Amino acid sequence: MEPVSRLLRSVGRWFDSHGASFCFSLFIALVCVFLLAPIAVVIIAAFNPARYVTFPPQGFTFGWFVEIAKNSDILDAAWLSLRIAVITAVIATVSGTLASLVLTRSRMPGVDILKLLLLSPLLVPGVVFGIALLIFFNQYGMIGSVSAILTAHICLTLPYVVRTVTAGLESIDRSIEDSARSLGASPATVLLTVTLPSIRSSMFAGAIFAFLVSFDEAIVTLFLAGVQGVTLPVFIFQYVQYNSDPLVAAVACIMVLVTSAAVVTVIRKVRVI
Amino acid sequence: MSVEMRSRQPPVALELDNLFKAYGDVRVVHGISLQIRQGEFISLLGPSGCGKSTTLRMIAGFERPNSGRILVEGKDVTEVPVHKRNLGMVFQNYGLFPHMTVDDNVAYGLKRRGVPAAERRDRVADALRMVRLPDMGKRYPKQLSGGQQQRVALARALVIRPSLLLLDEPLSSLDAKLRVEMREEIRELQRQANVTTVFVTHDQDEALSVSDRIVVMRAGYIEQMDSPEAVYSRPATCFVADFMGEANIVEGVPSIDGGQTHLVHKSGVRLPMAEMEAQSGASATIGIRPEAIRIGHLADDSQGIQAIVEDITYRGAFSMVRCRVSPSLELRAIRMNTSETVEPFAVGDTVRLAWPANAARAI
Amino acid sequence: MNAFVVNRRARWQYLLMLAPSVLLLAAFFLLPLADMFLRSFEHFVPFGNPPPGFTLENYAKFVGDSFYRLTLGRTLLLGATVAIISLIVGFPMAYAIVRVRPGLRAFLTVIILVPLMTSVIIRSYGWMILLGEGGPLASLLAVFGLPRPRLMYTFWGTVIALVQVMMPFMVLTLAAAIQQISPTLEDASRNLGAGRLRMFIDVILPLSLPGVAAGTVLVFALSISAFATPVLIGGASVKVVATVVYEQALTVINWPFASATSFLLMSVTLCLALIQAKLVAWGARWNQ
Repeated sequence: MEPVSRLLRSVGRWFDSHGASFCFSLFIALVCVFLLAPIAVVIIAAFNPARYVTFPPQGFTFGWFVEIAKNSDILDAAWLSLRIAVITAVIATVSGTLASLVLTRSRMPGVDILKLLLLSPLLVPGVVFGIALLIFFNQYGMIGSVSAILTAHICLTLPYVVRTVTAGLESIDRSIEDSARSLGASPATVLLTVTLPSIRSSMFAGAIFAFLVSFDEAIVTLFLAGVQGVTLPVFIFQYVQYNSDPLVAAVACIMVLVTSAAVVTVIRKVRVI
Repeated sequence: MSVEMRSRQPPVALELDNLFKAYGDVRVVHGISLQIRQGEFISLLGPSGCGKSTTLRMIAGFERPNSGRILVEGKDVTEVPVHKRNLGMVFQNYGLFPHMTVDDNVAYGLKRRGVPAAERRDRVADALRMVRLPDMGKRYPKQLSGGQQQRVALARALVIRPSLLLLDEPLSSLDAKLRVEMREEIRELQRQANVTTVFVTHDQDEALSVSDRIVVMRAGYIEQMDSPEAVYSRPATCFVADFMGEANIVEGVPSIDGGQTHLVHKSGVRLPMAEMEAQSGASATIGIRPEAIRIGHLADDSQGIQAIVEDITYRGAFSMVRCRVSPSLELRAIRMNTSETVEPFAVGDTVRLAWPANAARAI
Repeated sequence: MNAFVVNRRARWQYLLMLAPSVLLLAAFFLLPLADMFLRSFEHFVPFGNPPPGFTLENYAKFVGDSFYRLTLGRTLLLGATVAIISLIVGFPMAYAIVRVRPGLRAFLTVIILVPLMTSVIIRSYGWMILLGEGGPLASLLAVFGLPRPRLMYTFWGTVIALVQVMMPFMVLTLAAAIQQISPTLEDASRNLGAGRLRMFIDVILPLSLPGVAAGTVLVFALSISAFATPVLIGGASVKVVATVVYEQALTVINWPFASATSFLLMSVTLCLALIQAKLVAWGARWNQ
């Protein structure tokens, strides 16, 4: 019995000093797997030659990607998504930055309400905004039009730009602007030569966020898509409900690559935690 | 030492045996070894980055040494986890739990040890009385001043009757006057409780005034471990001499003639110094404390080194006087600013500097 | 400190700078929502023009019909379940992100952000594969001789997928709260005799409580508004309020009723957002 109880005691001691952190690390690793699992699965499925999605995959092929190149629906949707995302990013970043400058640098009354207004799209569920715009744009026959979708996306991405750029503006050292003024620069010059260059990385991050949010946007766009306004996420949503072949997985795989590249670019410039 | 004397010495409470600690490639603590006896108050003193806090954290168990042993009351605790070491610690920011009352804060360690509620209440009340905060039990830490929070932290550390009391720069966030008050209180409490204490500080004033012995550290090594008096007036190295207050450090070649030893500086000036065993021709370094140097007028003293006053910096109770002896040698002396000063001198005057030979010791 | 304006003349410069974003939001965000709110009081006629007039029949229909009450209950239950599970799973992750060394922290942050930046459609599709008949989960269990799980088109399947979708929000909120807890407090409690688990219970949990509440409220609000995941994973057997809105809007084309349902949903999420803001402010004070 002696050696057994000694063994148990040393196991207990190991747990006290190392075991607890081992279990903790294991748990964290499992959570990481859980977080990445669906994305990983989609990427793997994209290379599976089988007509159905099976696991383990039955081979490796680029066939589905080739199919994409021949599928005009997908290509149209991709082109639409990209155009909308880029234009959204540009317009949202410009107008959002202008608004952020006013939020942080002016002493206007009602700045709090203004900030609330600019961030309010974040508070409204996607379906609610979707139906509101559906009713609204239907009056003008604009369902399925690119402008309607663009407008919706810009509204949705403005909060991200405003949040990122105001954080950047609040973190730069005010005294550099003061010293520029004291050296004789006019307010406009200070803005152009000192302030904007200092928030370059925040603006860039905001633009990337806007691009990503627009590129990924599905819910509101679903309401406005009609027939001609099918973006990539809407395409996947509709396709996936009636088909089970991995063509869509290949599309999703490309989308993931695009977003990952954008995320990695942003991470280097902006501290999240 | 005779057998009876040795047995009357208190037992060794803490022993560090050849501790090494490195973070990646950066060596922070190099082979630290020391012994502290029961009831002693030891200060780890040194500039930031010297490894004193790391050493303390290793004693507490927050860091594990790469090699070496830590023995508390004779038992090897190197592998023992933090929460089992029974050491009381006071942190730089006190570390009082903001969501608990003062009573609950002080009782925390007792609760962890399974002390029953009634006894807990009594011991907490005793501890708070000892730190002179008897009615503060129901308050929250943020309602207390810095000094009061400090005392609660002390009560919390002492109530568990620890084998050692560890203090990590506890006074650095207090203002100057409070710092002096608190360090005396800490010393008083420590005497009452008779607990072995390790105190980390970068302030040599603090270390000098409260410690039984001081461990001067630099870059991970122990430069000197001695009583405050010894560390101050018989520094073992130039660093210690310079760190413990101001010092004039001069290099030269000692020469002995007619019972009087002099240090011959490269500029030719001969500075009286204490006796030392010197090989003829070998160079040596001496240290002279500014307060040991007397400044006299040119005409008065026929002895003394001639120098020109270059700068007088007023420092309140005294002034620091910088004198140039030769183009390559300057000495700093102190003049007390009392009304009975010797005839005052000004910048540009020629004076004579004199000091007792024993005040200039070889390092 | 004001970098631009020194005189009143420039006040209109500010208004000009604000114009694009504010006008855009006012015209295409506030206005449509207000319009929708008004529409919710209209009569509905399947074909032809509805009679004019103000009515509460749409709201009555939602509250009165047991089908919709059931849907609401299911939605709330789904939201609560997802919130609680995300909390339990996400808390250790949030703690890890805050306390590990910087190199590892960047790695974990990326793992949190990548799902967030991937379209919810793609993540839901991934879960369709994972939970489906041919999926890796089924294959893995088959290896051990366990029966294939029926998770697709079930409540619990939807919960699992939604937890993964919502987890980054929970982790980021919790991490912000945990970061405010000074590591000295952890050291102090360990020094006084608390093992790691005890330290967690005594120090981390109480002090992160506002963050826990804020994260739970946030995930709850997002989950009850969720659309894509319940539709793709839950299908017809897990109808939520958002599904009702979609169907009423695009299939049944009963816009007044859809508007009423939307407005109810939005009111709930707005209240929750208010509560969450208050919790975050409380958290900042708590940790002084």
